[in-house]
Amino acid sequence: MSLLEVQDLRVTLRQHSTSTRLLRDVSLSMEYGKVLGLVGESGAGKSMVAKAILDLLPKKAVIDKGEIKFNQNSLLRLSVAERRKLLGKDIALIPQDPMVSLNPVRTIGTHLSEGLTHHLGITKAEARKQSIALLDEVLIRDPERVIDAFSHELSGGMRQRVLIAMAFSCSPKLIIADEPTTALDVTVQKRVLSLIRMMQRKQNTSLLFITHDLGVVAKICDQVAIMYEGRVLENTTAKQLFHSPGHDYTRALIDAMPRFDQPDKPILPVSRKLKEQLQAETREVDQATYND
Amino acid sequence: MTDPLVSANRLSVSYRIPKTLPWEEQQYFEVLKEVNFEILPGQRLGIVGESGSGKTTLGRAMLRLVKLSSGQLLFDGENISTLKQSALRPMRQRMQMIFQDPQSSLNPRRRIANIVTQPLIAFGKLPDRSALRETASTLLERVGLNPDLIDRFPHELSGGQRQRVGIARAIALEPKLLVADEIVSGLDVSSQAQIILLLESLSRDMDLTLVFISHDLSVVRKLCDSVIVLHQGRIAERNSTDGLFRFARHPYTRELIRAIPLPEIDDNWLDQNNDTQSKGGLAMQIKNATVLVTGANRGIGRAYIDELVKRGAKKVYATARTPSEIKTSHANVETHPLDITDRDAVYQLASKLSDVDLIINNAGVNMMSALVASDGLDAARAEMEVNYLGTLSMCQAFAPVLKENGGGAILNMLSILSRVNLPLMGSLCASKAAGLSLVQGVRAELAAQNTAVVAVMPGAVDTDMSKDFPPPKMAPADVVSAALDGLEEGLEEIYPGEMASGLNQGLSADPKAVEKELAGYLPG
Repeated sequence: MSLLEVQDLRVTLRQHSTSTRLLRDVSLSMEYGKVLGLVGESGAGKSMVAKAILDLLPKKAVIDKGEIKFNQNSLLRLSVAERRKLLGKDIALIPQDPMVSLNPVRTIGTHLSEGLTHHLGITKAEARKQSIALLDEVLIRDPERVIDAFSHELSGGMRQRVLIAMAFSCSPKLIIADEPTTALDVTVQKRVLSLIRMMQRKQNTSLLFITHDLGVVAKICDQVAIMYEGRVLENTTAKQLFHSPGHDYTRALIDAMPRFDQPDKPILPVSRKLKEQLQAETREVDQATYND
Repeated sequence: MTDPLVSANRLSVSYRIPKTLPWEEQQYFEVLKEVNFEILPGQRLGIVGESGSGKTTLGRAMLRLVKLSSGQLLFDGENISTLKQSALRPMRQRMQMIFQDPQSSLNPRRRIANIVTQPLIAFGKLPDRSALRETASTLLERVGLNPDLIDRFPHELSGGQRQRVGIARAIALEPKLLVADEIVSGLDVSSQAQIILLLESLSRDMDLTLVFISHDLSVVRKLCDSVIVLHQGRIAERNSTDGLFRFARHPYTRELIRAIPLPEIDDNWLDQNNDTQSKGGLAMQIKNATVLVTGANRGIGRAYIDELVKRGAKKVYATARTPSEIKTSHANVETHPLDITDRDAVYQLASKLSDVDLIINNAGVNMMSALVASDGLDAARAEMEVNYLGTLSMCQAFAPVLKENGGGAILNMLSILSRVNLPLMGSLCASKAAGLSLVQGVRAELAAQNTAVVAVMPGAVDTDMSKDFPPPKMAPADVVSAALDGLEEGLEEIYPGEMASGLNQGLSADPKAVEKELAGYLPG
């Protein structure tokens, strides 16, 4: 039984008189306690999937078709109020940029206890106690001091830790991590990834991990979906993907990566021919579904 | 030899820390601390380090985009460390920069044609404005962009395309030096591959000297021929790219390399805690090393010669008081007479063997003498003379040689008896304990010159020196193997064999118990 089920999701951006397809019948399924990697170049629609789940789609984007089921219930049929109850509690987000995701005029404690008091209905004093425990859990040294600090007083890695603590604060069933380490350097990235995995295992949370770095995917994901132009090209286990990639595009992405352990391996950008072929396929899909 | 294009001597940069109160004393934060380097023409130099290590500042300092607080900077043979901006301006044609964020470094209100030709206009190299579009098209073609893009605005391009526009602008004046600051970190792999290939071909075709700043060592390995690793404002390590990856000397470099996620399934990768791994010391590779071994005529010394040759050492200088006793048939082993208690001889040899980068201080004596139970000082004096003073002379004489050769390592053969006294030979133990203290002190003094100083502390080894020891005894070859493995891993204290590692564990758990146990072995 799966926790999250995205079925044939089609999203279109309607602007003025034009309409642009953002997602083309995307289907994904997530198991309890597993990590699904969503991989693609910029513009592939990976963040759009996250936004559709989180009810954060741009105003002009419309869901034409499809279904998002969370715990057997349709998310799309919930009222705004019902959905808000889920968000932050059962479904949480670790955002990409730790620099802009914290409010500069509020303390770290305010950020952390907001979800706790709102969703769990506990008192402010209790929430503060729990927040300090959370900071301790994400391996922040001296949580008693950090709780009253402002975001500008913390380093990038520390801020990302605070955001991770916020995401895990209400023990959610699903966490969506949108490129959580892209802004960090390799050493900090490794620590943050270790932390996310540790918390995810501890709470048995399902994790939707959005990234363009196949190296990171290999280290943290159980299942991988490769996206291009709003389509899922390949959806398979991480083991299978790196052992024998099923789609040419997946192989092309792996071939484009420089590897320090293979200095003589040529790095090849995704070929124009392959891109044109993929774009032609996209047009075919669009024509076939034009009248749906 | 070609003259370097850029040469920095004790270059420092500090930033002011904003004062909270106006009457406070001004505080400074030193970002770069007395950095020395040279860049040869045509070189592709990578600068790596984590955020806050000073790599961006170093890139900007090279172009004098930040004020230098001290030190000397030569560009193309000219001292530019204190030149005024107005005097620098004509030189700017020869040094250009590509910025990290193409979004904010391209004027959003100008068309691409205008952006890429701006440097030419600024230096009056485009007198005829009608040639602007044509020049712009040529520049775009050179960076692999469609010339039709010249009428677009930056926001109409993708991230990869914008970064190429940044490159086109930087090469417009055909500079000699190009500094690229984290220009691929925001791009996806395919665009990143394109940019790397482009920089590779541009630097080749235009005879560019490229400084490529990045935290991604995989990219650096692909693009650069040499690397500087910056750590907390200092150069932790500098090497050819091949050399660095084959053998990272600095623990911080090893941490950086280990943190790169390769596209390979590895369930344990995330569990390997980088904090504990970075605690190692400097490492040293045996392959291609030039090694000097003292006491090479028997036991462990002889085993060292064999193992060093086996591991591909470039040259081994085998020394002993009577070199005729050194038995070896290897072509790259050279024998020299040396008595390490003869200070002048040690210094003479150091001036002769100027290519050494690894010293193995193996020579030692054991007079099998107790402390109080012996009736003189002769044994103790002889042991200190060789084991402590002789080794010290070696360190003093050869440290400058190692420094000249880029760091290297000193490996001192001690014994687990450096840590605890065996009364049966109490006087030897005292000299070995002095030897351990010597290692610690020399390590501290030589840390700044990137020299590893390692103590090897085995238990009983099966040599004629220890023929009176009770078993178990380790074979000399095994001790040597463990010592060289440890040196290659970056360990600072090596305990070969079960006896030594067991005693070491015992010493950290309950030192008194170990002391009591060994106290049973009394002289007589």
